Order: sequence, then C-alpha cells, then structure tokens
Amino acid sequence: MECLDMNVLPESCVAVILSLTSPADACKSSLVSSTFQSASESDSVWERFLPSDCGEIVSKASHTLEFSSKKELYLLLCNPILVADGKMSFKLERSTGKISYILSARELSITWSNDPMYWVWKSIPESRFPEVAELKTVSWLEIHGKIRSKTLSPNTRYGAYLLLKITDRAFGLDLIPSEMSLEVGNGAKFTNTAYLRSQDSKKQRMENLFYGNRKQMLKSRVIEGDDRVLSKREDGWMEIELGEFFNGESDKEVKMSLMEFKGHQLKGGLIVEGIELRPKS
Amino acid sequence: MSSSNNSGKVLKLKSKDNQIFEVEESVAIQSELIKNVVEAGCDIGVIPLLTVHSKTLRNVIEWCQKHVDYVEENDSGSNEEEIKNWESEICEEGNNNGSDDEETKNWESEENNNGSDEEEAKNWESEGNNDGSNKEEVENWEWEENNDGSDEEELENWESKFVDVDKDSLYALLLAADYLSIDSLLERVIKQVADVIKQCRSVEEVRQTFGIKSDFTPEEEEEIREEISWID
Repeated sequence: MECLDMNVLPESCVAVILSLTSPADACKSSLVSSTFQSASESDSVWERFLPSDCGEIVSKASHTLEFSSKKELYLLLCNPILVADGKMSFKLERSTGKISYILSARELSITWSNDPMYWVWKSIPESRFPEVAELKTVSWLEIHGKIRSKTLSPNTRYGAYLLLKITDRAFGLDLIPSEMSLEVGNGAKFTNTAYLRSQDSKKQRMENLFYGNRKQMLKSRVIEGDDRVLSKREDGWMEIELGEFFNGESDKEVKMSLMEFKGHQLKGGLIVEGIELRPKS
Repeated sequence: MSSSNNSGKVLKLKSKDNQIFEVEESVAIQSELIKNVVEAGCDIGVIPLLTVHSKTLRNVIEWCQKHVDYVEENDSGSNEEEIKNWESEICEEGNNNGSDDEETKNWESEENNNGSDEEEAKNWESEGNNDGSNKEEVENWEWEENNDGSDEEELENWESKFVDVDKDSLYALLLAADYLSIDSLLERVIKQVADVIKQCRSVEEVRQTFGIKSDFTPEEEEEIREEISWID
C-alpha cells in the first residue's frame, strides 16, 4: 500500500476541514504549511465562524465597517461595535466566535428614570455608550432588561451581568441585599441576592459591629440568596451576575432584573452602564 | 419488506490494482459517480475505478452496504401503512359506541336509582369507551418504530469506529469518497480529520499526525507566529 502524501491535499479540501474546527484552530493551522495557510484565509472557513445574522449586524452598526475578506470581518467583530443607534454593544469572542452583547442603560427599563428628580442621564468618558444613568436618590430601585435568545450563540451557556459604578458619595445601596432574577421564556425563574458594594472586609467588620442587628432584621425581608458582592472588571466598571442560562436553539425571551425596595431607605450614587450577556466557560 | 431499490442487479467494479468486486446495484449507487454511469447506461461489463486501491474499495463498499441496510431497516414508508391498519382495528374494537351506550342504559334501568349503581355505570362506561388510552398506545408504538434513537446512535458509533484509522487509510478514504462522490462518507471523514486537528495541542503535532512538511522559511514562520500570538 503506497504512502499517500497529505501535502498534496487540495486547498479547498483543507478549507472544508478547517471550517469544522474553531477560529483558534483555524488560525493556528496557518503555521502548518503553505497550503494550510492559504486554506485558513479562505472565506468558506470564516463564513462558518461568523454568526448567521452577521449581515444584519454589519448593516446596523453605528460606524461603517470596512473589510476585504470574511476573516477580516471576523477579526473586526472581535472588537466591540455599537449597534441599534448606539444602544447596544456587540462583539465576538475571538477564539470561539461566540456572541456577546451589552445592553446600554437606555436599552433597559429603569423605574423612575424619566424623572430627573430621581435619575439623571449623562455622558461620561468611561462609558462605551453615549449615555449612562446615574441615580440621584430613590427608594424604589428597579432595573429590567430583556433580549431574544436567538440573537445569541446557540448551544452556549450565558451569564447576565449588571455593569455599574458606585460613586464616592453613594448612600443606602448596601443596607439590604438587592434581589436579582433571570427568566428564560416561560421556564423557571432563577433568583439570587447581592449587596451593592464591593468586597471590603474591614469596612464590613466595622458595619457588622455597629449595625449587625439592623442588618439582620432587614435581610430577613429579602428572599434567600448567596448575598454576592460586586466584582471589578478590566474596563474599570464593576459587575454583578444577575443569573445564567443555557441557550439552546429555540428563540425565547430572556428577562433579567435587579430590584431593591424592601428596605424603603433612600439610595443614591449608582451609575448604570448596562447589562452584559457573555458566554460562560 | 425491502424497498423497490433492490432490483437484484449486480455490478462489477474494478479497483486500481485490477481486483474485481461484485456489488449489488443498490449499494454501488450510493456513489454519485457510479449512479451516473448506470443512468447513462454505461454499466456493461466492468466499471473501472482508476484511482481507488482494492483495500480502500473494500472499505468503501462496506460503508455503502451499511448505509443501505440502515435505510431498509428504518424504512418508515411501510411502517406508516402498518400503523394505519392497526389503528383502525383497535379503534373498532374499543370504541363500539352504539352498542355500549345501549347496553349501559339497559343495565342502568335494570339496577335502578341507587346512588352507587349510577356511579358504577358511569365508571363502566368510561372504561369501555376510553379513547384516550387507545390513542396513546398507538402514538407510543408509532414513536418507537419510527424514532428509534438507539438505531441512529448505533449507526453513529459504527461510523466513528469506521473512521478511527491511521492517517494513510483516512487519507485514502477521503480521496476515494471525493472521487466516487459519496457524500455521507466524505462528510464523516472530513469531520474526523477536523476532530483530530482540534485535539492536537500544537502545530508540530498536526504536522506529525498527518505527515505534513512545513514549507515555510524560518522568517515566514516567525511572521505567522507573530500574527497568531493572541491564541493561548
């Protein structure tokens, strides 16, 4: 039986093979040989890695995208772009091609945000969006977001995260845990709790010392939960996970929310950037 | 039982190394190439397959035979007819409304106006004419016969074992599937090669696994490494 030479495999064949691997594998394969390199550049490979509705996404982008190959388009989309009149941010995860979206504050439904007595809309340089919502003072904190699951990558586990900042003059935000929920279609609703503050053990110990009893009493008004705290992101914002879900192949409405009104206390100093939906590894 | 495809005709296929294989037409026409030859009426004598070695051809024929067998075993056409006949039989037996209702009424008037009797009559009625369970039974049987998940799984497992071979054999299968135009085989072999590449932890491993020589200069290689440095 003669030995066959894989070097002689036609480029089109290699391209089909690579399209069944992953974006990371396809890029790595460009090092194997010149045939592989050529195949890994071909449109037929990157077309499979791009989302099926990418034509629509490109047409709705706030800035025109220029690209001369599907691979170039793919790499372009790995950097966040604004879509839907600057109300949402879209990007692809580079090694896997999975979709991430950030819904801006304007895209969310924040109770009382229309009243400048309670919330103020402003532009800040740290935001990726034209506007963020800053809480002046309110006793009823309620934030909702929703997205259709078909806009996300199928067969992927997603987490929903509220992106926010706490200003130096914030008050009343962490007296009682906030309640968060995530619901997919008509399925089960997952709930959890979080304190709107970052991890600061010294401060917490002091608080427990002085306000321990009051906190316990307030906490009892709220549902059972993990009492998470905010975590820091690389882009300078803080985030709190509202929930997670597995996105199958059917199209359902995903509803997320964060609420705090059981404490009745006034709160302020919260800046809302938006809600991010990103794949969980 | 078997479909009309099996005309019983046998074709002669000749491999590159001059071995003759006798194959049933229904199996051989899994190859678009051979199907075209047959349809053009050129299948007299021997069909030469100039680029396929006998070792590979033997495997390809095995693949085609397996897929023909699978389709025959799961031929839904004949099943649907069988179900319809069975359905009407069952429904006639269980749901003979006319006579049941009459019988019930007669029995009711006989026993007369005793609370528990009326109850009993109602229960008996519902038992006799219980459409629900009959329909359910039919549905379950339908589902079992036509959606036998394990058959599909069994084929998938068979296919996976089939392509789990050394690189030379895999390559030979790839070329043969392409030349003979057997979509199912081509798809599966390509997927196998892709899976092997995905599992390779380095470029060197890909090269070694498939016996590929790099034709880059050191400078070219360095350039490409720079480009893909973002991959962890």
